Amino acid sequence: MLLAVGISVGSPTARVLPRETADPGSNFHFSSTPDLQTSLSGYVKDSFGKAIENATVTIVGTNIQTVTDIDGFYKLEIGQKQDVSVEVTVVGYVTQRVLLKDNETYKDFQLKIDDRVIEAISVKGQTENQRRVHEIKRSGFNVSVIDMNQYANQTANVNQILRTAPGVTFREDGGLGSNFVFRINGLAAKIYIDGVPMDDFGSSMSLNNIPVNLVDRIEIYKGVVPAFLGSDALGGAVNIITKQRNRHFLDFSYSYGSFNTHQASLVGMYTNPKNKLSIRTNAFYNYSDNNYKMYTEREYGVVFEKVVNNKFVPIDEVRRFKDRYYSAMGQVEVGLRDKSWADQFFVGLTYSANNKENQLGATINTVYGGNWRESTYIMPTISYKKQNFIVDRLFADIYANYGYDVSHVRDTASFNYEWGGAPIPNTTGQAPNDPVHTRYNTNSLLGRANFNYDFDESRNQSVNLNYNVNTNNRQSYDIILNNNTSGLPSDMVKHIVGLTWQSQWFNKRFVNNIAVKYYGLDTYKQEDQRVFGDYDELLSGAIVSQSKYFGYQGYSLASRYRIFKDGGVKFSAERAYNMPSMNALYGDGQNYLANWDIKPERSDNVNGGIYYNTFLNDDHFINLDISGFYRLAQDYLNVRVVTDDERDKFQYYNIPGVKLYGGSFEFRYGYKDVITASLNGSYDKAIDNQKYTDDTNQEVSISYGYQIPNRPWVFGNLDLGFAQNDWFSKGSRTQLNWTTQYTKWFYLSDSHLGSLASKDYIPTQLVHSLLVSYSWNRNRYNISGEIRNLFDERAYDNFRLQKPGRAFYMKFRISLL
Amino acid sequence: MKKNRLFGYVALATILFSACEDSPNVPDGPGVEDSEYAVWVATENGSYLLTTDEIMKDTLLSPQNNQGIDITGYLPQARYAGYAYFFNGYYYMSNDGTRFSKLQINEKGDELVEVDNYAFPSAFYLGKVASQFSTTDEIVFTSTGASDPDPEKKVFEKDIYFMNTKDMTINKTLKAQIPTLDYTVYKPDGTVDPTILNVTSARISDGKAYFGLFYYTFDYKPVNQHAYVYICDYPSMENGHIMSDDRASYVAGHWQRENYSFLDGNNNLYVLTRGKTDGTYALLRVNNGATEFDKDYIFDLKDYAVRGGDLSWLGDGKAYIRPYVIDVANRKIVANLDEMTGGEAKSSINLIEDGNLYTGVKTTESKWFIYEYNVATNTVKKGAEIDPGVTQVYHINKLK
Repeated sequence: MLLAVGISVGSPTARVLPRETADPGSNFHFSSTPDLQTSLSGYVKDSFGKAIENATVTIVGTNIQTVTDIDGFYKLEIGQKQDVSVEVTVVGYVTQRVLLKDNETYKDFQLKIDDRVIEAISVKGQTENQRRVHEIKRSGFNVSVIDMNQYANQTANVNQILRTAPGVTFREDGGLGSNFVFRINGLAAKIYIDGVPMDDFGSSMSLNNIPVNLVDRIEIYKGVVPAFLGSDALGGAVNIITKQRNRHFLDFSYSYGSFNTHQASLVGMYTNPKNKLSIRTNAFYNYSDNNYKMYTEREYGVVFEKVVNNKFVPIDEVRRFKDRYYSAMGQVEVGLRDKSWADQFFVGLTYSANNKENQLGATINTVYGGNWRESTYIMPTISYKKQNFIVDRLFADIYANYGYDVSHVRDTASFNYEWGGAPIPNTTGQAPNDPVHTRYNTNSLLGRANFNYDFDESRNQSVNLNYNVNTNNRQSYDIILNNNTSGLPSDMVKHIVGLTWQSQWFNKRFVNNIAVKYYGLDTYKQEDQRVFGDYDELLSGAIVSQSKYFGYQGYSLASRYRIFKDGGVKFSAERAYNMPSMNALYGDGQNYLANWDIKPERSDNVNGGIYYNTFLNDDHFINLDISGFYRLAQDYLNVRVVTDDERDKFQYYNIPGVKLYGGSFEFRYGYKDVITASLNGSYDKAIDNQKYTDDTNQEVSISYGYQIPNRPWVFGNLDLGFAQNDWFSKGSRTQLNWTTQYTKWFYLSDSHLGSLASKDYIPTQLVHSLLVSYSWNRNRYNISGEIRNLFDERAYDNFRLQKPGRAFYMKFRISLL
Repeated sequence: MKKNRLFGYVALATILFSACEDSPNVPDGPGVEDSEYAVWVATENGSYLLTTDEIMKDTLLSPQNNQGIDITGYLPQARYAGYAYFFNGYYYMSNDGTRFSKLQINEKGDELVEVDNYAFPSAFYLGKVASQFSTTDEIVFTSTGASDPDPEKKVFEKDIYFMNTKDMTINKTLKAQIPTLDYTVYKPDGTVDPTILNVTSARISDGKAYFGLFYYTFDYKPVNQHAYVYICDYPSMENGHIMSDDRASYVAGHWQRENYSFLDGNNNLYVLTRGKTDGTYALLRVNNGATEFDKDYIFDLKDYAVRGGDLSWLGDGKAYIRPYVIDVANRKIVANLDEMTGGEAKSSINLIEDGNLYTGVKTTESKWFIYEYNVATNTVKKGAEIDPGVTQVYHINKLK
């Protein structure tokens, strides 16, 4: 058994480059310098092409060494190069030593798994990222980690990757930037970006606009969610970890595709090696006309029509119009690293702008010809991280931000539109529709403090205290009526405190997380119910204030027991609460209607699973995960279509009692770095479990014991990848990926009510996509082509709301290390 | 053993194949062909038409076990049943703000299908229907909306549509010029509040058109406590003026199809208004040929728990104001259907046939029944039970 990571091999020499001082400033130039200083760089990966982080790369016989970063990248300056031998060591892999040829300035390593290692017993020397991933994997949480770097050459946004994970449903109503509902195992899941709730990013960041290039990995928690996320999630959570490096780094990509879709992203980092001043920047730009074709499919209840002489006449196909979307975001963070008083201290500023035309509301019943939303958002942030904070082994992670969002919701169309793209002729002299222009100003504050104390170096016993406070204040102004009184506030303050005890027993075979949480939600709103007379005298009514406070305690247990080297079982149970969001309580002013009466959702759930990972002959990798869940939800948060002011809108509401059960499996196989395959399937049943609908227990619900309608419950994904290295040029990689997404049909309304012939349903979908990518110069340049929905399948997440058909995309990416 | 394995493979293949079906398997039936009646009900998640030949039979009407017709796809919200009008075997629905559909239950009795439609250029929901002026081939109706007030003419414009039901075209449109009130409402910031108008009732009779009016502020409060009805010549729509009465408060009702007024046998107009006391109601009269409220008539309903809804003239001097049957001329309560049925009369669109009123009643045991009220005998009779799981019974319609 190997003991530690980062132990150097070899004897001291006159020239030692500590690993953090390898000059990142020259990372973009791989050449010998005039004074004959030579640099050596490369990647360290495992047999399956996966980057190995924190591997020690040493010039044998010297003290010249460094460690690889999250990409498996290393760089050394080795002086004059003569008969240089390089050795790479890392826990869990067989040490490799090679003799460099004279002209070699790049050297990649591919390490084999060391079967003797069961599990690293020391976390010393691990990076924070490495430690985190390590902890996630060995914890009792049912968690999947998606390495987003493997998708870096796709044109996808985060949602398109996320929806392929087992147990995850992602229902959207259109193309780029469209509205969506995201669930894990049937329950509303919370989304975080680097541990910060996504809601707090206002309109700037959303699952449907974050390019994959900005993201390192996605952690998907099903069931119990770790307390450090400060979450009021139940059913699960997603934590999106953005790219962060300690060295110089630049990643730029641009893609163009069907429906006039442009997407660009930029990630860059710079750290001054002397004063440790770091600058990080993220930026993206998305644009799409979203003018894809939709087709009449009578069997699915979809009939598109144009208007001829004030009559709707069926037509075979239409093209979406007035559905353009663009968003742009820029984020800069400046700070210091590796100081005595802080491991990281950053201040940042995020600015974004969005403009989204809204052709359809919650349904395709009404076509809007002049409805859109535009918003700007600015958010300063401050973050602080420190290991050994005040006392040894106390880790502190403190974060705060302030957000200010200004949104304008407008509708300037005087008349209804039809699918031909024109207003319906006003032959009867009917009064035009009223214009809409409402401004929403939202202020938000988020404070998060996380403290983790390890009782010993091996972290066998740890406690974690987490506190999150989040305030939101929104004011709305009706610009048309110049109605200043409508600027009355809607407030929401959320407190979540979590205390976790993590323990490891029996030589780490048994890992436990026990947590208690407190959830507090304070809501407040004012309504002006005054009526004034001729002389401003008050005729009746008053400004009415309403407030509510919800406070709950929750608790959870998550355990893992490793039965044998490659496999084990996981179990978790909890009582958790999901607090309504601002949009659920107060609406979004456009497509979501407020519901002040909505209550927090409670879930008592148990989750179990088994996993098995093994390697065959060092070349084959097999991973099998099977998990199941059983949940009793009270005041289940669901979304329905309602009509307000003569428009169809979504609205959150509570279903008093729902029983959810199901399971998922995921099988993954890999052969070297040549073949990857994964297959997953999910079964996700939600049953109406509230027998009576009144307080006196007399009214039996007609849906009691039946499945909640209008939600997918059987779905799965297949992903096949083939790769070939060094085609056409050394250091190149050609990759072919095939993905298939499957969703079984489901009814719009209760399956047992009404004749089957009259029942509307959302049909089965089998959507295939193909990606071909070619990278060269050791992943420095990439070009890829993608065909999504290859066979032009009619795909619907919501009734009648067809999603894009076959679409083509090209992407170019440059990644400078 | 091999045989078992073979069966296993076949079973697996069948499961996999069926998993790829893109739609549910729909067997024939169990639609009820050529039914006599339809009961329109709603559940938490959907809307259904329950068809039957006999509404007074001791039977259970239920959408369960895939009975009845699922019409959820037509209705984003079940309460939009209130915008629907049943006439001569067809449903006329305006549920998406644009489309005015003519729908019919198909021959097999298991689907509601659109026969024809009309596309309105701006937001349209079916308002009041002047049923006594409708013919086999034409229905006369208003929409829920009205124009913004014209500040110079000081009028709201309200359309009356005459629709040819054979081909769903508009034969003509009449525009009532309803005056704005000579009364200014100010908002707290000192600006003028552009008051808005709802037509809560509409009747056409003997050369006159009547519109019950609800003037309200931006936050949907009545501008004052007076009852207003606009009257004008019909069909010229000229010589209009507003009748007002301060014995009662603003005219009750909402903008949708439900009736908040009725005409008696002599074509006198009765309008339900709010009472002077909060939460109460009153009934005012406009005599046939008169152009002002009848100052001698007011039926103050302040002592009765009126729930409004579908006001109906029952004949024999009686009218129905949920849940009461009243002797209109004598201003007396004749019957209380809540008391007589031991429940709560809740249907918003009732059926009146052969001197009987048919309505949906929810009992104190949370069961639903159709009750028949006989005007002549002043008695009620319990009919078919409706599944207790429904949340509302909106219509009782006679299909033939």
